[in-house]
Amino acid sequence: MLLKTSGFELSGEKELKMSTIRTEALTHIYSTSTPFESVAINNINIEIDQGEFVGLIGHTGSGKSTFVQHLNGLLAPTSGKVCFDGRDVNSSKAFRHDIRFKVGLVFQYPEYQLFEENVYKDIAFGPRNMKLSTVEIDERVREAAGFVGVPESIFDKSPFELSGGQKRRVAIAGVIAMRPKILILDEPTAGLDPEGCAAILNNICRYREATGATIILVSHSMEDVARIAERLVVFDRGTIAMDGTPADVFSRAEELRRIGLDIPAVTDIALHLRELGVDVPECCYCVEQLHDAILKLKGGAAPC
Amino acid sequence: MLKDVTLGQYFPGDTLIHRLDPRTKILFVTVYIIALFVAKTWVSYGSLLLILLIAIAISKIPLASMLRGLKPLTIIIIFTAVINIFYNGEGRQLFSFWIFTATDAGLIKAGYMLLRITMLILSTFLVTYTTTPMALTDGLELLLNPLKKLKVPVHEFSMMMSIALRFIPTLIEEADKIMNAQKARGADFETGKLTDRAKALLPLLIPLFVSSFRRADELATAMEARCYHGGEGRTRMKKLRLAAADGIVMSFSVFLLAAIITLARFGL
Amino acid sequence: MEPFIRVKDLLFRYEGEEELPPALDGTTLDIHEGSFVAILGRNGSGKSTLAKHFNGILLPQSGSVTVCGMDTKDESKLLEIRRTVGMVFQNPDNQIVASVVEDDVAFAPENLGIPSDEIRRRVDEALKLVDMYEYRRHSPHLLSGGQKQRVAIAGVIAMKPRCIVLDEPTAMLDPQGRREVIDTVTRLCRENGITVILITHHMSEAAGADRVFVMEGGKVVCEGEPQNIFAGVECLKKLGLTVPDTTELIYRLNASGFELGYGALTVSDCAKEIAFALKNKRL
Repeated sequence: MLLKTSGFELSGEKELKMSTIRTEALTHIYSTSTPFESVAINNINIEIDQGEFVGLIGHTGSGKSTFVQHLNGLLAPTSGKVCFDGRDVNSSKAFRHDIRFKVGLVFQYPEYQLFEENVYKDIAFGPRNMKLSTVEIDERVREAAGFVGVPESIFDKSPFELSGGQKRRVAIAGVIAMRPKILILDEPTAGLDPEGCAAILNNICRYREATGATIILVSHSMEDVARIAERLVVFDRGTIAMDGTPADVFSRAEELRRIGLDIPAVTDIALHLRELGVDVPECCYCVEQLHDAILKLKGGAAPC
Repeated sequence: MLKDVTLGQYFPGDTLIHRLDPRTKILFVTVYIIALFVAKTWVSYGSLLLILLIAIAISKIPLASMLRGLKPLTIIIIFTAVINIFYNGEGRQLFSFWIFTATDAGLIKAGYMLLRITMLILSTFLVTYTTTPMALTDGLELLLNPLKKLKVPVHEFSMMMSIALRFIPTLIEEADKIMNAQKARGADFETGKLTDRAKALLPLLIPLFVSSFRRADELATAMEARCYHGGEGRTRMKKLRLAAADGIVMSFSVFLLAAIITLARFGL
Repeated sequence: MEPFIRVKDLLFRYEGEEELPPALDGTTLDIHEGSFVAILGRNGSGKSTLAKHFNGILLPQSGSVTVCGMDTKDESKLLEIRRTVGMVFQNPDNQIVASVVEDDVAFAPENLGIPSDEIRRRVDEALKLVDMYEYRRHSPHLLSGGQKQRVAIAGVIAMKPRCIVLDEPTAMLDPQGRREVIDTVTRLCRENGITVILITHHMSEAAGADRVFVMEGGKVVCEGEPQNIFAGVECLKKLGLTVPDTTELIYRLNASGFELGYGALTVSDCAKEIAFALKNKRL
């Protein structure tokens, strides 16, 4: 499918600014001054540049979801700041409302939020809220549908008639149609079978290549995240425990285990091999890497 | 945000009130409410109030929590009270404008109304705060059982109620999630005229409805898989048994009603 | 020995899907008592539809399903079949009926008309078996996904079934929840002799099974022990499934000249197998 990258460079802008999302001492406390008070995130300082592919991992309850909802203005900080392109997200009510169109957030099981009479209208919901022209909305809907593999033949169907996988694609298209500079996806592969998982992750990668958008992928699957993210941020009990490339993060297996997280099976195998005296690099995190490393050790010996 | 709504929550405890059979509590509250409507003057109201406060004290439920539970109902309470200031023919006139005439008798009557409604609501709170939803529906089912002879589907009704109660927190959580997801696409639930805001609720209500139907379907299948086949032959793990305390409370409620009726007869 | 569950030439179509190929198209398989069986397949392969035939939730349009000699089409035996074969579903929330954990676990025995004291005993025992006894007075909606599923499992055990069917029980859980559920059912099978039928598309969960059935297009396309099934990597990929990374690695190394066995399913076994092969090649 041909992707119109020129369609994404917004009308009038000669060059894309380097968008960054930056947080300063971001803290969020739920139910303040009640006996149920709990600190969800504490003193988060992070900077994400345009075009990065960030994987966000952490236990349930580590603060990932709370953090991510500050980036699009859904939640306001108890203290600290969130800045988009250098401007404080919470500086004005209008900006806080507009930020949701620039930072798109796809929640877990997004198919449960479909509501319109047909697929086309549901994908168009976001652009409609942006008060765009009919022509513009149409262009965006078709473009977004193309990115996630939603054929135009089902535009007239009710979203409730679709299969689970199709519904999810429609839901994701609904967020992409806003052309957000930053796309956050919370467990986009949850509940999907292996084919479905691979397809969604593929679509996300293609989307990024075509548009240069920043992707933040929140996931529990070490394997998924290891394969496609360029940078991993590990959350633990409301703070950032690690921030680096997959190789960096997975080489700290002990620490990850102590936090209660898993390492990819491949990394685990590499560590076991090292214990058995086989000299493979300890930061292998996908099958290809480990396979190549083992082959190198085999040397040029003839196959048995 | 929505999660902060406490809908007749249960406050665990092991007080006398907690341990009473739910049927006793339901009957007592029914009698109490009847007494409230029969009561005429401060003597009756005062005794009823005293009894309520003693019961609340025994249950160890903090009065503050109960009063907080009144918040969503303040409008109704105040409205009822205010109406009575103006619509009470007798008494000396205090002031009037247009068709409204306030009288001193009206003011007193309003005061009693306020008290009556507050006591009515608080007494029902006493029951819901000290009885688990399951015990409540069990008690109601047992009380309504005689109606089965008139082909009233008592068991089905009671099962529906307990399932509905069980799903309230789950549905609230889901509504929250859906609202957040729609807000993330720019939906606005807060600004605009009343009609705009009503339309804006569609992206919340439709997914909630659809998912509720799906839930009901899945739950029905799960219940069938666990051998549910209606009320015939069902036993209960927690059998409701009447104890001495129940007998005492029930006798007391009869006595209370009789006493209030007598007081009313004597204009008190 | 007569198999515990026998499925023969099962044909089934959902209502309103008369023009589409049937959901189950001549499925045949046997399940023996006390075994841990995994049924794998992609979405649409018919595995969940098959699962619902094991306890008579769905009935065959042709062919038969027999549980302990009882035909599921026999209405008089349906209650007994459902008591014998319990079922746990994918969505943890949509199978919990009561507002308190122990009340929910009591639901099934109450339906069976069991006396109060006996129900109490069964509920306590069931909760202890799934390690949720300390949560018996808690409200289910405050539990984690894995805990809710364990409560659902307890609710089924309270019927004292001979078999538990779990239909994608971990699909909506995080890794910890997944572990809790799989560990619990594995224990129930190995220590308590309950037959476990696990429907899943997670290959790693099937690794501990005694027998694996792979479904596609409403039919069983292959069956066998996990390592033999996993060895057919290309075939599984065509069926829309993946293999655990341990198997994938061994597969690729074998393609590059190694001769590793596919029985090494766990991480440590896999590493040992590779290390051993490397040492021998060096000699």
